[in-house]
Amino acid sequence: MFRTKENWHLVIFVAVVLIVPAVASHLAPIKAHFDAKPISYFRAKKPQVVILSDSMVDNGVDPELLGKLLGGRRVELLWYGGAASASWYFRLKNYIVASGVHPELVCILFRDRVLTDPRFRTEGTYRSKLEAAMHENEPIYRLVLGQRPAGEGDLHRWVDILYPLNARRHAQHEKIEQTSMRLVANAGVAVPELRRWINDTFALTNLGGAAAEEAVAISKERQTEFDPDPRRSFLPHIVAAAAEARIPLCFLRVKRHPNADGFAQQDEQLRRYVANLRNWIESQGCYFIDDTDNPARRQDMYLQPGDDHMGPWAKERSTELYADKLRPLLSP
Amino acid sequence: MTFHSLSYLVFLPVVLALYWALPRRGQNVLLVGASYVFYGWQHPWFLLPLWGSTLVDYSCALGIERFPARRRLFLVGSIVVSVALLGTFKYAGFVLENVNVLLTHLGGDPLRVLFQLVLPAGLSFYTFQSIGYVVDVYVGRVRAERNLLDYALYVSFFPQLVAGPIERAGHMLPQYHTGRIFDPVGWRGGLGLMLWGFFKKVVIADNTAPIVNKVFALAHPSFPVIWAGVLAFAVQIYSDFSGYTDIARGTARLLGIELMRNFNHPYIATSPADFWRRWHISLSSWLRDFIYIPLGGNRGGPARASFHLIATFAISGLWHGASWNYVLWGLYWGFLILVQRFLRWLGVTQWFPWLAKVVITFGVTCVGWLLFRERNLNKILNDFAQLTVATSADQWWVGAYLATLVIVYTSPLLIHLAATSDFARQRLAITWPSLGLIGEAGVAALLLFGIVFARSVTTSDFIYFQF
Repeated sequence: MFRTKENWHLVIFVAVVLIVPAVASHLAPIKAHFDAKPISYFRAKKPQVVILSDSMVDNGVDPELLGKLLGGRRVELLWYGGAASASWYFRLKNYIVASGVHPELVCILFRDRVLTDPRFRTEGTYRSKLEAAMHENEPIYRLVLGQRPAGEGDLHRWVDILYPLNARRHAQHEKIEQTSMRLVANAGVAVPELRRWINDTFALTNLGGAAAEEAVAISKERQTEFDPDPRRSFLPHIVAAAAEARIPLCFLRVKRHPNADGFAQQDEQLRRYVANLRNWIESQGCYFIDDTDNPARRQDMYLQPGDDHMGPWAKERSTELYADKLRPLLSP
Repeated sequence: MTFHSLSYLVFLPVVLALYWALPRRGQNVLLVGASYVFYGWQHPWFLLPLWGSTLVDYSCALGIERFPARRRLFLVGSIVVSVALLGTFKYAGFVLENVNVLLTHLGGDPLRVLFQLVLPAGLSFYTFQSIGYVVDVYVGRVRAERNLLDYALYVSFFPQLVAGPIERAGHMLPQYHTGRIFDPVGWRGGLGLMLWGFFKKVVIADNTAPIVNKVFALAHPSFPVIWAGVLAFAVQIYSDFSGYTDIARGTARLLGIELMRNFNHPYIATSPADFWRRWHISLSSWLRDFIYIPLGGNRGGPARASFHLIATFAISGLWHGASWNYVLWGLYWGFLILVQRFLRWLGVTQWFPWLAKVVITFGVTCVGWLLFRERNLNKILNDFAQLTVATSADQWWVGAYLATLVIVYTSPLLIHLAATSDFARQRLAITWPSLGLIGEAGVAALLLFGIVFARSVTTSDFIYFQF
């Protein structure tokens, strides 16, 4: 077969096509560098109460006020929009525990099933923020998220081995999106403002009938029973990391946007899930607080219909309500 | 099986290795078998209508030659079976839905018949290819194929079975009759074409798809947002469909088979008619030869010619999908070409410089894509009703951001346009040096690196699979 010059040229062609991208792919970093700044920040601030959460705390908690209401304690919020269980695990282990600071309480504010949905917001634009809190070698990450979903076999693994950059595509997309945003921003608008307009434009409440129904259907598909299997959830690892460092841990389920009667909607399956979640968390020696049935958190405190975020006008009241829940957990 | 699945990465090398080890007759047997495996991979029952269509059209074509006195009967029989296949799987639900709407309007009870069949992928493509063959035999353009295996290969050849190009018997059957020679230079071209097709699909089309999906999911998109979404769809559908065609043509080259070109830089078309000479060329030439010309073409005066044109484009719209928006889209294109003919008759078209013609044609093409993408007629009206003056400044910024993102993803297409189009060669006098072995390999390696580097996190089926 390889008797002619053209045949050898074809072999060279195929070799170059396959090998050059593989080499380039191995030379490029496969994850964002670990960001160690929060460790020194914690050491400097020595917080007594740390709250891990997502955008729920943006208008939901005023750390200074909360500190005052908790008897003059130093409170730090550790959050970003879209943070979820994987992020909370790495931030707890690699920042709070690694800093050597021993807070009196670490509290995780979460919504419904997020604690046992390990893949939730670990890809796309959320990936870089997650990686920034991860070391190069994270066995728990490999245990929980390293297995490919059923149906993706050895071939995928080989592609990832040959071309590791393949697993880091989310970072390129993020760069492309940020570049596009900066290009537009150069024409006279601030990037955060532009980002907010984009989020507002594509908010769930703006979707058409069919798309909204589909979104609801997708959210229903995620309704699973509570499962504390350490291979399928970061929750047991969060608990273990806190226990090992002897840090008291509290899980506070936030109240989602309530109906006009003041109650947040939850079906039987969700109630059963939360009951099982509470039992398991309390059996591990952690605190569990469910704010869902708190009548004091009224509908008019929320940002907009269908939105679980507090409005800026309700920040103080919301902080007071959280302080009421957390105060009994701290020594006088 | 789809081209961009990992199963195909195993399937193709296995087929190629066996193929080039076999003699010609064995190669054709292997290709038919491989095509059936490829097509029936996920839904084996898809093979039943394919086999039915193959047997009926093979027999009818032979009947046309052997029984000249009844040749019309065989032709009509073949066409009726093909149309019945399409009607059953693709249009029955649509017809029933419209009958029920009509009955409800007239005060009657809707028919209580449930008719929702899964449309076998590629049905519209291979039925049109089969009809074309039988008509070609009928008019004497090709001889009826005696060998059932070769004919089965003509209908089912896996690279082009699911989304074309819609090939002609006169082009394909002679290739299946002759021995194929392993051509290493052709292989280099084929592999390069496949990589470019994959790049267009998984990097450009799949990365613009989320923008399109988000915009078209909005209940009331503003003017700049909806048109940024339409721009994204223009890029998505071109990259998706032409990407599929490039993979198909590249794969066929590895097998020593040459498929027709289906796209020729459609977005630098200078008129609606020019667009259809560059977009989905195999379908537009099929419609011209088997619908427009048999209807009478340009004969019978301007009024009749206009009717033939509109009817042809309405059928083109309906071929794309059983929905009124596709019919509207087809009628829109027919109307555009009529307007173009009228303007040319007035001598107006020559006033415009080349660039203005390209911009105007791209603009009207985008309006067409809005009709194509938006299934709901009320939403189409709503989208067209969006006014620029009623739009807040923040929506203009959001639209600008979406358009910028689309343009960034489109940049490889622009480079390709500059490198390969007649426009670059003739108007900009750009001549690219021959790349040579290392240059070709470098470009192909860059494409593979681009796929690894920027492939979309989520992928979707090829858009034209649904037709």
